[in-house]
Amino acid sequence: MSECVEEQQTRHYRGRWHGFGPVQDDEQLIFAVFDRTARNDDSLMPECFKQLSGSSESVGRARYVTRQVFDSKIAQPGMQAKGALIGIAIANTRSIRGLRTDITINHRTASYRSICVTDHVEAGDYDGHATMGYAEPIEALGQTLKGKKRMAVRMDLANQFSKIKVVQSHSWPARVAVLGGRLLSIVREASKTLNWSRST
Amino acid sequence: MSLSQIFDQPGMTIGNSPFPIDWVRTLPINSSPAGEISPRAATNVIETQGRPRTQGHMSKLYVPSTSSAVHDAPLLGSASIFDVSRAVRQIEVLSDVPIIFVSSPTTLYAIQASGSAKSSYQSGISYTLLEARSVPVSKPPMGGPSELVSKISAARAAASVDPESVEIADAATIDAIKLVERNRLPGSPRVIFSNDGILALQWQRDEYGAALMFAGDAIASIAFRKPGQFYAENGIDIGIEDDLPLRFTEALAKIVA
Repeated sequence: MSECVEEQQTRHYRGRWHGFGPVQDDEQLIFAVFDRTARNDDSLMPECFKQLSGSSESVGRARYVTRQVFDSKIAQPGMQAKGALIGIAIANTRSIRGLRTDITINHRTASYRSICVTDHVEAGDYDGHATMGYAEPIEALGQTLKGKKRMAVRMDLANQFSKIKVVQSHSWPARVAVLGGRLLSIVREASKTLNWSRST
Repeated sequence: MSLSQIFDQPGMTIGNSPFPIDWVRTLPINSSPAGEISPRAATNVIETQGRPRTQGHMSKLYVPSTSSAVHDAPLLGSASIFDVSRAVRQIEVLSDVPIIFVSSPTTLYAIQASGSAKSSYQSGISYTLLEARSVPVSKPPMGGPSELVSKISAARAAASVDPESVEIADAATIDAIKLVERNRLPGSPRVIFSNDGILALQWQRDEYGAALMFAGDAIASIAFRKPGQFYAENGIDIGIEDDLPLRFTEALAKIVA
């Protein structure tokens, strides 16, 4: 079974020439924490991830989210629904993609990815938006086992995030750096297109 | 004996009460009107899960449609606690004193049936409430397995569970309480409900952790975390009535040490 194939190509609604391309392993992800976000002191609690099914748990790509974008596109809308902004928690994409789940079927146990991270951007989203979701093998399980595996995965996922820190302590990228990332994404896509046309 | 009389007796214990009585009697009884329920509540029937004793968990509180007056009883803190379809989450009858603990989505209530009549009802034993009082519960109790039981009940009451998963969450709560009451679990685990009704008790310190997960299927799934191993990468399933495996109790002892 292929694992997280949706990570390989951009999920930007306007196509591959837009946004920043698929989320790279070396990127950091930002999870905004609000008053009603489940947390234990300064740590995220597993139940704060409520949108993992359907791959719609929103995170920001730290490299491409300026402070202004965070305030206007993440903090303000979030505060309306979830209360006052508390801070942010950070995780490495590589460590989230490294989460594994053992699934036993017919007495055979196999290891699968737990979480997929995609650059899912829909109309109205900011370009540095990404989503996390359960990997397909977990979603294919029966109700009870799926529920327990999802719970275990959420515990693992919560452990990948940093302690909650105040927004001011984060190193937000400058707009010019984000623009550079945008150009790099275009170059990457152009390179792919060139390689594809050469191989055919 | 009225509920307030029971609560006013210092140090009195009621069977295996999930709430230490010293704590219960300090409840702000007057913060919500408490009093007798309409006599029509006498038609209420509680069904046990086939347990022919006054102590045990029960799954359903039946309210005849003709008892709609109960819902409007002005002296009841929250009349909806008698509507099982909307609010009742967990019910316990304690020892020989017919005290029932019910948690609504926002509050835990203790209800006393001052007179009880036992009779066969299908496969279980039923109780007829002749009189009942309600007391809002808003403070965590102290000490022992009952502390965790209360924590689980409170977490269930506060949990946001998808409507289609409410039965799973209720069954998971009952399973967890059964296991907790049978085993002396150390430490103070996180009690986590997912929106699909799964209940987890999680003990974690730094890189080490252990978790019990319940889905209301009478099976507890145990998972461990340690460096190089995720919770989702392992698991042991045991029956709710089974003894906890040594590996789990040893891991727990290390985590809470």
